[in-house]
Amino acid sequence: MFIPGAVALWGALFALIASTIFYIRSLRGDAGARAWARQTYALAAIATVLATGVLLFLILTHDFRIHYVFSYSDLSLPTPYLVSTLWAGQEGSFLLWLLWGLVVGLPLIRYAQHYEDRTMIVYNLAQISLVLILLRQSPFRFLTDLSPGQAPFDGQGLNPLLQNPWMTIHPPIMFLGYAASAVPFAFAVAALWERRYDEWTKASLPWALLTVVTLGCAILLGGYWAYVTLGWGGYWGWDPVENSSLVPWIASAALVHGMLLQRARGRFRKLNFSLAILAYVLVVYATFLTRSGVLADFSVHSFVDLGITSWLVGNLAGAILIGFGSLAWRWREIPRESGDEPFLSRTVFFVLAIAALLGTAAMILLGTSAPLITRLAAKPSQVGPAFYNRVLLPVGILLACLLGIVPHLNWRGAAREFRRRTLIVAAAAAAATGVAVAVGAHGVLYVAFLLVSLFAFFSNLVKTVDELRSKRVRAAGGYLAHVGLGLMLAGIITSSAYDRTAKVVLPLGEGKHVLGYTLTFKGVEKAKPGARDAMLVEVREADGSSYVARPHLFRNQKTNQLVANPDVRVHLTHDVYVSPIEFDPGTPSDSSQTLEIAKGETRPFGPLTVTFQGFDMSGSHGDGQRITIGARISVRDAGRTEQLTPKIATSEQGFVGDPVALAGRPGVAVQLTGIDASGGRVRLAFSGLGGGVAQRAVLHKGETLTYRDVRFRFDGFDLSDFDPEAGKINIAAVFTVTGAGGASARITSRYRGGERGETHEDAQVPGLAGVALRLGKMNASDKSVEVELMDGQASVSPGEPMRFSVDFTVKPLIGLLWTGLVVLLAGGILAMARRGQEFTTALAQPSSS
Amino acid sequence: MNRRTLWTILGVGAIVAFVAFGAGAFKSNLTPYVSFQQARATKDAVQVAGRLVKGSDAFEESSSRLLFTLMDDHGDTLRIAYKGLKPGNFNEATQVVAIGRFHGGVLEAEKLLVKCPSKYQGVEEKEYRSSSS
Repeated sequence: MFIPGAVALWGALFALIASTIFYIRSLRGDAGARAWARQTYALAAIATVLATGVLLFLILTHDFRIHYVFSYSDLSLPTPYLVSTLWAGQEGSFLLWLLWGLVVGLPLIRYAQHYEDRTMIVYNLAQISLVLILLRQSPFRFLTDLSPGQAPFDGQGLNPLLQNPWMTIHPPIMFLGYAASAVPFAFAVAALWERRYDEWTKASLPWALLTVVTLGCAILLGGYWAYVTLGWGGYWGWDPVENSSLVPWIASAALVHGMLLQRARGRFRKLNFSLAILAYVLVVYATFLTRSGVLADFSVHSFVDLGITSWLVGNLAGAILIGFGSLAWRWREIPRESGDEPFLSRTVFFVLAIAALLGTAAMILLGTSAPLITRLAAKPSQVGPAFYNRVLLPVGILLACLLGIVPHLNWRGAAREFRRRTLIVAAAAAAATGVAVAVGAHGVLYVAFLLVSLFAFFSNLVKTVDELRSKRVRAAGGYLAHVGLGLMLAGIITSSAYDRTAKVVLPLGEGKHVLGYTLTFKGVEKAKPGARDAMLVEVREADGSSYVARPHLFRNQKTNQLVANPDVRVHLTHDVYVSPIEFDPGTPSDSSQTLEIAKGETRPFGPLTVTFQGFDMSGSHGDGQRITIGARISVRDAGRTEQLTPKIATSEQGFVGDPVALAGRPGVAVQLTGIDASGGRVRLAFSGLGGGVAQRAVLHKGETLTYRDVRFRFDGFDLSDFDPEAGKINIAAVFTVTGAGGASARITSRYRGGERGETHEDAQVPGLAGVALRLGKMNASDKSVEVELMDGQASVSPGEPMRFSVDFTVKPLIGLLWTGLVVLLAGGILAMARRGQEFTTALAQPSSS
Repeated sequence: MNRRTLWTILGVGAIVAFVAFGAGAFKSNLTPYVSFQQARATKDAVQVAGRLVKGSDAFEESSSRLLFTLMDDHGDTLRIAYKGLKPGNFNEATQVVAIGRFHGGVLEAEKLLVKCPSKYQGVEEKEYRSSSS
């Protein structure tokens, strides 16, 4: 291992152990030990910051001897992504988790009060388990089989899919949530230990809210990232990795509601102990599922078994044993609660909501654990998204129903005007659903889900407005969060149950009608050297408005991995989603006809009139490795003029130009195939116009070729302008052409080469309109030349045009989902501010209980 | 019977019904790992794994499907059809897992998992899921 990093990790371990021992001594009555415990804890935090700093330094200085640095970064990464590789791999993300854990512990020490000793003992154990994993699978270990003094030149790089701004901030937020989930757990165990069963919920409520907000935010980012970059058309795939953040989120949400319940009614103590322990155990279980390799055959994410499986199992067993063990120990001592609550009260509805949340979590957990469960019985199997959708739809309807009614209830019964308010809100929801049905919503369960989601939305909206009117901004947080939840549930239904999708193959330049839109593939855009190639797809709506979608499809040079990014166009009522499926470059056509043209010149070409206006050098400044030059041309066709800029780029394969489609003539494309920048000339190839190479032959001096009753005799080369030392490589081939009538003429076809490119000059054949002679390979030693006869009327194989297959999807109102989630999180933050303030003010006045 | 008992019975009944519903859905949605032979014999959704036969993959334009052949350890082969984007590291795959139903001579896959050689180790793979699933 890299020594400074290893020292920091071991330092953190010993400091945490010392802190735990001092807390135990403090508990036994050693008055001075607590100060020592706090100081050693701070030391552990400093050591972890150092370890993180060392890893960051290794990444930034490209020390590829280190396995972690080699595996996840390379020289080409820009600094922000380089920093993000700190948490791109498993070891780094455990380090991040530990870092957050220790940071979260600092305010915890300050506010834990009489619970401090016991809470911190439990909390330290949770951190120690993370350090042990990091020591077992260190981010600081060297690459194996390197001889001394040797280091790889470059690393393997960061997965291109993770090179996305959303994905760089997703893990830090997520692991903050994971770290915070240990706080209610530690408090719960400490409270059981100390036999003080009530105050702990108030102290840990802000932390539970922090978990809900951060995990929710991470889920939002992850879903949005999947939606805009992965291209399979969705934001949630029920993959184990996704589920492993969802289940703790739902459990934490249940915990928050349980704590609010205990706060208001002074009961449900056992429920809250169970929930706090469960939420943390689920975090540890999720880590076990996703990091141990047990699901390797069942997930699209690669779960590499890092050899820490037994540690993760040990962790899980430890959390269960400590958590549920202490609960069982005190179970009979926890005061019994009696008395019935009226059904139509917030209390009962909260209990129902917690039950529904736990049911949801249990089903997701069951689905995710399917391979483990079925392995015990028979062959390992898994369940697909259909399972989750089927099971969760009814639970979702129940939850949204509760969500709509609760705002109009008080803890001990219905609120004033319960019936009137509920009915008005329900009517509003029904009216909105009616509109949705009129627009096309269908399916009984889906419509029911939409109805209750809107019911929840309107109910909570009314209460949010009420609270805001009473100038109680923080009290509005809870309602606001549920306004967002209602919106989110509605958005899930509209975007997934009512989306319209079609797969379509788009030949270059040919418009296809799909779902009321017209899609036309316009070619490939190589914007900048090294940038991701974009496919240009024009999307024209029924009303005539149009835009160009730019989905990406490119091969990552390093991993040779084909990467596809969709194009998402956001409208107020729907998203238009164009996702690449397959690109077929086609076969080059023999039928392409070339035109050489000088700057400022206008020449007729078949049915077209072409003007070369000048070069576009905007792409030529780059890293010097790849140069892109464009030619600005205008093409006049049947009274209509089009401006086009075909481009040519240098690459390992030589010059490459991509065809640009002519809008006015489907199937016709123009490609820049040669440039002579100093001479101000370009060669353009037109494909799809018909005609092309009619005949091809190699002629030695004196030999003849006959085409359409005209004989061509090769007379020899003209080297009068050939001077390689002056940079002039100009060769002309001289032919005598004898027509059917016997009249003969001399023509010359030229090749002009030089430092700035190469170009041909075709010779027009007198007496044969539209026929030109072009030079191919020349051989000076045996005085032979390859000639091609170009004929506009020749019938040749048309070749295959480029084709681009896309998945075209229209997703109605998906914006509701994202807006809803953001509102939900904003509400959560308000609630967190309120509960945090309540708690700290309660601390300031210790007399009030 | 007092109200409390009634509620308890209702609650327990609801939980039992939900568990039964969930278990039923769970069982009917399981996709077991099976051999190619079993995959051909059943109409249920199954999961198969095999090596990609080099050069067997082709994109069928008329149906927008990726077609390819997998070979298992016994040399048995199975044709797979997948509606969706060809996984990026598909051609370098050591093992391909396909989940779907056998229909019309091919296994119509809803989902593909691509396992790659160790040089991709640690690099999180991408989601390959047909959007129609």
